[in-house]
Parts: sequence; structure tokens; C-alpha cells
Amino acid sequence: MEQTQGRADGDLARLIAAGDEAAFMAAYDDHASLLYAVVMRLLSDREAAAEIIQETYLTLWQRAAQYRPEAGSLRTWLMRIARNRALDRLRAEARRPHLVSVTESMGSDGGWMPRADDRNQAGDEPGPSLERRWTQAVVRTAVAGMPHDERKVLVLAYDEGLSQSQIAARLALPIGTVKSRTRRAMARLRDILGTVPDLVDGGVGEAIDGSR
Amino acid sequence: MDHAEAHERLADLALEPGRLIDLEADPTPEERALLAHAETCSTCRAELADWRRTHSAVLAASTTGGIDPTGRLEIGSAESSAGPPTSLRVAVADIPRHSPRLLDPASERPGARMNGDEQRSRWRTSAVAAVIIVGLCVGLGAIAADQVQRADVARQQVRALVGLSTSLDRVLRDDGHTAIALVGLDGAPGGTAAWSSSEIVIMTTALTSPGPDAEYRCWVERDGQRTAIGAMRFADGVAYWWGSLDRYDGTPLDGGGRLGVSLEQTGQSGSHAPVLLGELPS
Repeated sequence: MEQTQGRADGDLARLIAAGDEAAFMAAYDDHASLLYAVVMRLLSDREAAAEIIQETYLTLWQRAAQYRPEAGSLRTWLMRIARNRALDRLRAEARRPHLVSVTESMGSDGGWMPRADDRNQAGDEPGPSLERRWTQAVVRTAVAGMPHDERKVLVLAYDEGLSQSQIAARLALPIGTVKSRTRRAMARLRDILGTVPDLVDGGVGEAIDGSR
Repeated sequence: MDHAEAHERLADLALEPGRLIDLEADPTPEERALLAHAETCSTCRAELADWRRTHSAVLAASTTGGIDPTGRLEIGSAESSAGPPTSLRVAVADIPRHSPRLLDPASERPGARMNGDEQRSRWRTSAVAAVIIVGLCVGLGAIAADQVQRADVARQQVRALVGLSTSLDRVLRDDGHTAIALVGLDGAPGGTAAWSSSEIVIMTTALTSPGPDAEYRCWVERDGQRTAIGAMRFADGVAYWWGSLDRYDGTPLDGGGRLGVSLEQTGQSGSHAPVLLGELPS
């Protein structure tokens, strides 16, 4: 299966390298939704996310000949380009001496105050590393794409630390139902995360190489 | 433990967050048998590695702030779930017509040969690109080291203005868009605000950057209450702000009131007199 996909990706990249615009747009239709969803979730800025995806496909158009299917899928390759550009953008924003937050809310006194998480986004204060934020964006995108019942059991297990039997009690469901939902949810996660490079390790914070 | 049994056990253990990551730490006899099988079975070994990678990433996300995509702390979660805008596909489809490729001669195949017009067109594109690249190289070479930073700022400004014009173009192409004039303290026209159903653009050439301690804040005022919607940025003489309206569900722009810009201290609440003001339609 992976070999077949590798061949298909290799053929597609060769066509793009030869100037085939239909192949180029096929690569867009195959992967842009996931790329955009992850980058959008990371940057929280539609305009910036669209720019990153556009730059990613510009790179594909200009450098398709450099793609090597044996090093990973085309999606993995594109995902790495988008990731690097998105993280570069966040680093550049964090270096700016004065950065204006565009998402603000009313303070308790009726006045207007920047939100704490906005300041973290901008890099003004210590927050999670960019690599961790990338990983979180990927995982949240994958979870967002799940059916609600599968998403629910996963969030209860990971964010609230509940065991399978505790989840069953909380949701008033048979334990077998909870297990089968969790199993399906984890399988979906595994499929999606398997194509994403440079995810962060939950224990020590090191990047895990995405090539398989 | 045989292969089918190991596969089943792996699937069971994958249900427990992080359990597969430190399986070696304190394994039960059954888990020890699983590990022994994985030593000799490349399929199960690969599967175990896959699960560990998945668990590690999910745990990292969980400890960073949670995996719940609808989480309260996540900014723009509603926008995140939307697909890419149609305009992005159009822009990407335009890339082949406007961007010279870095051709690998070996990748040119007989089936992909261009006709004469295409060849001439591509040649012209390549020639123009080459002139631009050479010009940039010469220009950049002439820039002294202390000017590099200014060049960087200029590039950022160009990028910001391109983003601004793209956003404004998108708003104005929306059939349902609204545009109002903003006037200054003297009553003279001072800027423009335009918005569609999903985004807003505010721009003026009447303001200059106030420095790091202050900012020109954009707001909607209704019944004497101001709701901030953003703050102006500055690029090459243009002050602007654009953003999504999705995150301001409670502040529709077509309900009357005033849209204004005032100079405020950065990071502090405030309600100074407007320097630009426009009436919102009812």
C-alpha cells in the first residue's frame, strides 16, 4: 500500500516537474485541506495561513523534481515545507519589537485588555515551544475531524485522564462501546499523524522524525 | 505469543494513553511476551513504533494545553475547522502562470513538450525573472551591511501591503460588502472601513506609528459602550488593520453605532477621543 502510494506520489511529482498543471492542482486537491487546517490552527490567522499554503505550493511547483518518494509521502514533504514556513513566521513575529494583538476582549472593568493567550501566541511571554504548538495543532486538527462520539472519548481519556471504565461511567455507556470508539479514534489519529513530520515527543520534547 | 495475539494485545494497550511508550519499564508477563514477539516480528515492531509515535504526539498536545479542538483557550477554533478559502485555490492555480520553475533538465519528458507560444511565453517569463533576479542580486550586493536590516523591514512592509490589498480586494468582491468613510477630528475624510460578512479592512494614510507604548485602537461603540476589534499596524505610510469578523460574533457591524479609532496606551484599557470616526449603518 505504501509502495503504491509512493509510486503514485513519485509519478505526480514527475508530472509537476515537467510542467503539468493538472497534476499540480491534483496535489492541491489531495493535500491542501489538511495543510491549511493545521497551519490555520497554529497561526489563528486565515490570511497568514493562506499565504503559507500558497508559498508551500509555489515550492512544490518550483522544486517538484527534488521530491524523493523513498524519503516519505508527498503529503509528508508538503507538510514539512508548510511547518517550517509557519514556524519561521511565528519566530519572526516573536522577534518584532512591537507586536499588535488583533484579538482582544473587554476586561472585567469594561475596559479593553489583551488576552493572556494572545501574548503567548506572540511570543512576548514564555509559552509552549513552537514545536509543541505545531504538534498540538496537528493533533487538534486530527481530533476535530473525528465524529463527535469518538472525539469525546479521546478528550476524556487524554485531557481529563479518565480510564476506559471511568469514561463509560461518565457517558453512561457500556465499556465495550467506549473501547470500540477509542479504538477507532486512535486508529484515525495514527493514520493522520503517520503522514506528519517532526512531531514532538510527549515525554522529553524531542522532535520525532516523520519519515517512515 | 503468536502474531495475531500480539496484534490484538497491541490494539488493547493502545487504548491506554501512553501505556505503550514505557512498556519496558514494568511489564506484566503478558506484556513481556508481547515485547519478546516484537523482537522477532518486524510487522509488530513497526506497529509498536507507530503507536508509540502516535501516543507521544497526543500526550505532547495534551500537556501543551489539551487536544480538544473546541477548547476555550484556543483562538480561532471555529475558523480552524473551515476549509481553505476558494480564493486560495485560485491563487495556487495561478502559480504556474506567474512563477518560473527551477527546471531539472532530466525531468523534461517528451509528453510534456510545449508548443511554440508556450515556449515563447515561458521564455519571456524566465527572461523577466532572470532580469529581476540579476537586478536584485546587484542591488542587494550594493547594500551596505547596515542597510540589510532596512531592506528586511522594507520586505516585511511590502508583504504586509500585499496582504492588505489582497484582503481589501476580497472584501470588495463580496456582493454584500459595506464601505464607510472615516472622518478626522476636523471633519475631513481620513480613511475607509470596508467589511464583508466575514472580514473587515480599515485603512488610512492620516496616522503615523505612535511608538511602542501606544497604539491606535479600532473599536465599535454602541449605547456608549466600546468594543475593541483590533489595532492599527503601519507600513510605508499606510495605517491599516484587517481581520476576521468571525471572532466578534457579539459585535455585528450593521446594528448602528459608530466605528472609531483612538490613541490608547498599549495593553491598557482606555476610551480616549476618536481620531477617526464613521457611522455604522443600522
